[in-house]
Amino acid sequence: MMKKIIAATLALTLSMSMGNLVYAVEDKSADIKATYQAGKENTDTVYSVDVKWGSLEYTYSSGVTKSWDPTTLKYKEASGTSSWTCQEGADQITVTNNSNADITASLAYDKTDSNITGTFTNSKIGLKSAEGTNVGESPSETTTLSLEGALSDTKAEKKEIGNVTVTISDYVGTSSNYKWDGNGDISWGFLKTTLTDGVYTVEKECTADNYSASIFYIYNKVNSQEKYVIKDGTIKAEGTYSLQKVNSGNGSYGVSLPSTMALTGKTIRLTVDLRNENNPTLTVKVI
Amino acid sequence: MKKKALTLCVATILGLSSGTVAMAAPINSAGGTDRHAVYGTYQPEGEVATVYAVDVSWGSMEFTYTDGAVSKTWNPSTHQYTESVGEGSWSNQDGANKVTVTNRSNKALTATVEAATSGSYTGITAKVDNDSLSLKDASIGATTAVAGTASTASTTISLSGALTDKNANKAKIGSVTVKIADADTASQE
Repeated sequence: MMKKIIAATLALTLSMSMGNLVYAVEDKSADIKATYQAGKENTDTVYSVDVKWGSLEYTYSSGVTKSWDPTTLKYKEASGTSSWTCQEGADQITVTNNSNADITASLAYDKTDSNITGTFTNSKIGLKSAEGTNVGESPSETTTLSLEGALSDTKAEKKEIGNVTVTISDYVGTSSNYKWDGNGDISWGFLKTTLTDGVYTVEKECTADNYSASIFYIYNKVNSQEKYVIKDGTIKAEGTYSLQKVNSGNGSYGVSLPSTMALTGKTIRLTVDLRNENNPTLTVKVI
Repeated sequence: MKKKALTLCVATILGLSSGTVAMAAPINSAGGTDRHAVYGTYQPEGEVATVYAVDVSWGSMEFTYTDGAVSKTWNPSTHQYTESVGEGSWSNQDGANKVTVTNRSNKALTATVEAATSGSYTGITAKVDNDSLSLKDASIGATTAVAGTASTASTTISLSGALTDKNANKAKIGSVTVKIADADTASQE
């Protein structure tokens, strides 16, 4: 760089010293242009679910009332209503989702004492992702365990009578009104509801690298003329695609998943977002 | 450090015994589980209420006073009789002076028997041979199928002193009272 500056200075000195020989130089420039392209965002799901347990210690009262009969010199028993009671909060189980994914916590009661059954106010707790929430404000829900049946062991004192198991899974929705009709080798099914109204999902295992035709179309089973097709007609890779609502026919029936997706042995998740009537979308994700 | 550790242990014990909060490590995978035992305690029936049932069986409480015999002795010096009166006595028919108390309660009792004369007959003394009767709990060994055993105890009343009212015929000269108390209470008094 220094060398170039010295050379330029020398040239200028020379031209000025020559006196009668002057060259006119026209400035020229070229624009430098840049375009931003967002990098592919890879977000792994991190599961972290806290389960807070009440003590699950219950007391059984048979409800039998015993009294003394001085005429017969025997005890009399009158049966009443049996009951299970516990300290406040002892029957509660609270699940908190700190994951970056919607989850379902499934609760099951396993009997140790065959006479006693347990039921939950909610045995399938759906919790939204903690994304976008402040620490300490993660989605959380509490369910309550109630017991029924008689405890026959009259000597029982804090005796194990059962177990509660909480199992975490990706959110398990119920069947929605929207059918996902697969063609090719993928069987059709119902889109499942998610924790967000108007958003549905389905997951399918793939047995081939590509599905060249008719992988799916989506329609409302209540009004089968209400169909959704891919707006540009082609899925190229994972990503979000605009859908188009059509009211007759099958639209761009025959949407394919390309071989470049190498799907064999993988599971695809289709998420249909119908919240915005003007821009319904489909997100294709390989999981 | 040792103190802190001890404090932590105590806090943990308290936390568990309060029965409301127990938190395990987070579940960090789909399909992950957490498990907790459910415990049951049998609460016996409430304490059986005490039922008092006491029978008192009275003898007729009819006594007869027989005055002492009068012995007359002739005195030749005064030409008069000198009288000497013997000691009178109280008698009754068999069992007439008996008080029997039967406890059918599901609690041990003590029966206190008191006897006293009254009015113009206070010169007569009424005595209770055994003034404190212990009565067992009748529910001992009893179930809903097997009967217990009533407990019975008796005492007798005896009188002493002269009945001066020569016209007395089943005159009321006093009364006998039976008082019932819990045995454990009575023993504390």
